[in-house]
Amino acid sequence: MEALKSKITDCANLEELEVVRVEIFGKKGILAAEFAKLKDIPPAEKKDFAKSMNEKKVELQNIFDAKKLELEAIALQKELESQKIDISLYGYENNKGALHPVKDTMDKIIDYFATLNFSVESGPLVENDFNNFEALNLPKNHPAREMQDTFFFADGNLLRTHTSPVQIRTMQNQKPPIRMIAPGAVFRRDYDLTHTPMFHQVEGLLVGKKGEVSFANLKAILEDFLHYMFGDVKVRFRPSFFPFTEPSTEVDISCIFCKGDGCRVCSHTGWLEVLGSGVVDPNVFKAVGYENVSGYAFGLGVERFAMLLHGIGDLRSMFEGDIRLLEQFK
Amino acid sequence: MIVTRSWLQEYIDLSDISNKELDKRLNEIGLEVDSIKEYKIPEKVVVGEILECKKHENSDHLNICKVNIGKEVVQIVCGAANVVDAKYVAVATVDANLGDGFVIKEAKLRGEESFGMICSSSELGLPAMGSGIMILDDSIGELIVGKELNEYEKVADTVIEIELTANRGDCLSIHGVARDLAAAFKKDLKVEHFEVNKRTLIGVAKELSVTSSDIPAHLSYSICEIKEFKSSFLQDLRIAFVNIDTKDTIDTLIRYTIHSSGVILRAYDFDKLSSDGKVKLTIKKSQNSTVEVICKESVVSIVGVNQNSEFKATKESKKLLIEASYIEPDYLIEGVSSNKLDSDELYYNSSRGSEPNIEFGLNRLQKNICSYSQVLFSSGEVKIGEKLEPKKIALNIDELNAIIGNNIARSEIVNILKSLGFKLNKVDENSYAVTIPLHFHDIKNLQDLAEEVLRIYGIDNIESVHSTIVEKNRITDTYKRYKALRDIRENGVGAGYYEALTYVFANKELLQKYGFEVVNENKELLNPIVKELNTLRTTILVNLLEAASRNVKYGKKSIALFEIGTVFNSNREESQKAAFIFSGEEQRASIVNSAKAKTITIENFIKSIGSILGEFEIIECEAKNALMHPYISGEIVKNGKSIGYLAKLHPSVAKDFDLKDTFIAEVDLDAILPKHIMAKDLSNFQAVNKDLSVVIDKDLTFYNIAKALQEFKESEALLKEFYPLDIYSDESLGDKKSLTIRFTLQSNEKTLIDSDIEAVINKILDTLKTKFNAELR
Repeated sequence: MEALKSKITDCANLEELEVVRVEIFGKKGILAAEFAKLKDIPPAEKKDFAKSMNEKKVELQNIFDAKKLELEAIALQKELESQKIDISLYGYENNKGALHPVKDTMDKIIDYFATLNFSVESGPLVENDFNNFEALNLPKNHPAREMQDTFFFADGNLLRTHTSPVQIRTMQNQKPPIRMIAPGAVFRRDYDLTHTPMFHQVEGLLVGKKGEVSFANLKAILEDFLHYMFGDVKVRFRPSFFPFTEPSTEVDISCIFCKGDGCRVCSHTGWLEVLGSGVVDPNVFKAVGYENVSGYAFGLGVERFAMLLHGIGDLRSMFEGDIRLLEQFK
Repeated sequence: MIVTRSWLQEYIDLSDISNKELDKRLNEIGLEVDSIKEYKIPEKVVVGEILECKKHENSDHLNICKVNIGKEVVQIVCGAANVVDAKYVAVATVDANLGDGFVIKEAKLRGEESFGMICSSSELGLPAMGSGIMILDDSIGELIVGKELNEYEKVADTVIEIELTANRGDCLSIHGVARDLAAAFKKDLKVEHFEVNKRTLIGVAKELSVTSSDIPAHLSYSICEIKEFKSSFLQDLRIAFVNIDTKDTIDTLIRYTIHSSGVILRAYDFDKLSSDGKVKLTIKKSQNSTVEVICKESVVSIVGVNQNSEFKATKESKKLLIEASYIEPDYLIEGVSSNKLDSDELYYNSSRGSEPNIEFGLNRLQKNICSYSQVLFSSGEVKIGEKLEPKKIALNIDELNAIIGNNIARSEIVNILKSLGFKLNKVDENSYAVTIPLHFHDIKNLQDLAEEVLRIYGIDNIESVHSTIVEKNRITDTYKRYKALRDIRENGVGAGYYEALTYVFANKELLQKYGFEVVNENKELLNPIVKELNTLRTTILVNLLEAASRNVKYGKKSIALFEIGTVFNSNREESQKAAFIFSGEEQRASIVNSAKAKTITIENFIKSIGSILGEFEIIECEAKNALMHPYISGEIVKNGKSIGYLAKLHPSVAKDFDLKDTFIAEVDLDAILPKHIMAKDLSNFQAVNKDLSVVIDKDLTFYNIAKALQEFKESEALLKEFYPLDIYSDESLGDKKSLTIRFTLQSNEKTLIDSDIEAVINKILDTLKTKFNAELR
């Protein structure tokens, strides 16, 4: 019996075990031979013999089953080991592209305002003088028009110099209250290290009943928005001038590179100008036929935000499909 | 606008205000500080008095000077020609360090000892002031020999450059900035009284007569005789600090006074204007909607715009006619731009609103001229034009506070406006009639007043208040479209493309070369910025090809770019397209391909486009433009509509752009925006695939077969899907080819048995046979 047991337990692999199985449990195996002896046993002893044989068989079977499980586990382990590869070789096969940093920044900006229930509006790139200038309180010959060198067409139309005409279009088509942003491309005839003839703005406009919308409201949302975009920065408002808002303010954040100590990026002022905004000038409401309303408006340059957020130094590289830049944003 | 601290000090006492505070406050009140430069004169540079000056015996240009530098008299050799005219000078004494390692030492110059250097302005780090050394005078304060020059605040000044917005004509002068600072710091402006040398006997009216009709301007004239004309050292230094170029002494004094007072001033040569010792001027509105000053039938100046150089005062002039003027900017701007008149440098000021108090400017000029020159002024002035009537607006304190959104105390508001020069007449507890000072020509309504209050009160002191949201569905079509586009862009990124952003401009010649439409002449861009961007694009692909070409130059071997953006048609109507380009390697050489890079193929390109745009079909098409390979190109069809095309890039274009195998696609964006989908019932029974090989004409495209099968599918509920599996041709097939199509059959009600399948397959075969003469292979 012990010899049979060790026959099973000595097996080194499943093949050997199979041989042993046939040898012990097979039709012509040892056990079968033992059971065959039963017919020669005297009837009085038959019962005991059979019982003892069955017990032995069960014991052997259990040992066999255990061994089989053990050897199967070993075999599986060997098979798995044989499949081993150097998986670290394949860490270099990322095939994903990337969104453009300007578009991606625009997405972030839209997310913020859409969540605050601002609608997203759009308008054409080719605009007329009324929507781009006149209605925004920029009459012909106004010196402020010089601030925006404009592309003109032979038929007197122009490429919009800001996203503000979308304000006009929206107000002409909708009744107050209005709560909108207009993201999109704008154009100025300027081409050097820090200017490209096309860039992107996001315009915002909020209009309510007279007395409902104030400068303090504008200050609140812009502070919150700039913290959302740039994190823990100081926000500074400077009175400024835009023909379509009054009072007007330019908004600076403390320089995110030097934390306000002064560096090359902030021209050693410690501040970065990021936004223009103000309370909507009554002449703008007059131009679209609104009465007894109040509102605020703001506008920002998306390229500037993207450059500041990601530390991109060269504005023009962003318009060249330069993969050396884009692949960094995978 | 550039100001200096000591110049401001002439109008307002800033002695208790640091430069840092000044910077902060200027920004707060809307005068954005571009830069602040504090000039420091190096130590051991002192005031020296030249006692004697003689020529160096061994040199043509050197002079030997005996100079009193306070504690001693030293010999200094000086090379500047103007040293012979100099009495007081700046001397860098021995051991003075002038920066960049330049330390003054005792020296011998051509055998003569020299103990120091007489300095020019730039040698001391000051702006350049003509040629030669600086000749000092008491305009900078009492000259004390031996005193450190750095102790003279008017020399070691602080220069502040302010970026002025277009509405702040009132701050285009030192006086204007000081006036604003006076309100900001709650200080008073200094008032100065001075006398000028006047020829008391001859009144100005004896030599000048002016006739004028109703004009939107006012002017004032004065006459002076010149014996010697001289500007002071300080005037020259400040003109250099604020970076104004002047031609001669008269010009310096005029520009100095304009910069100081903000009043437009001009000087004429009296003798050139006069006949028989008398000048007769006519001032009237011209047909150009400007105001002209006419003398001897010539226009001698256009008020606020320019001056006829023929009559302008020069350094030869013996007698000057001086003019101070103010003209309403709105009137002026209209006239100048609608007639495209040439304007001089003063137009910048006059068009933004120059100082209307012209007597102030004229008096200032008289004072500035008299201080160092020898001149005699005629008594009195000739004044022309009605003084403008100041505008009045109603101020309601509650309404003003509603604009700002905080409750600023009434007294605070009143004080701020008063400090800015507004006059307030109380109407009742809450309202005032406000008279606007003339120099704020841009203030027209309550919101303008709110801005004035806000900037002086300080935006920092305004408490932020969140606005209340009116609940309203603001999910616009634009927003839905934006969200859908964002998904497509994300798909593009997932498919391995980089998002590009290029100009909506294009090179017209290039568009035409590659067979694209261009914007019609009558709607074309008039003033393109460069030739390469001289029109609007009608395709995004050319821009992407240029981008790809640049990337090749940067050494990139795999270039996959997409852009979603606006394009125009010949009629300049806008639409949005999505364009794709894949050039070069789809897989770089690496471990996954045993170091053998895989070039992008048409199959994989189409697969990637499909993973971005969703399901579509492709019809064979002729090349629509010269970018497309004539035999590897197809129209993209979605929901039965052509939405764009894809193609291999024509090899000759690939050569133009220095590209390897390249594929392109461009589609209309509207067509790929997702549609609303209704789900079909799911089947719980097994689907069966059946592959059929049929022999058909070689020229027959799959699209034709697909159309027929699609039609069949509509009426056969068991046919769920079909697609091409294999294509085969050899000589034995002649002008035929063998096409294998896989059909998926499935029932929603039962497991299909052979006879069900066979019935459908037979019907398919019948259809193919009838329509295309197809035989089972």
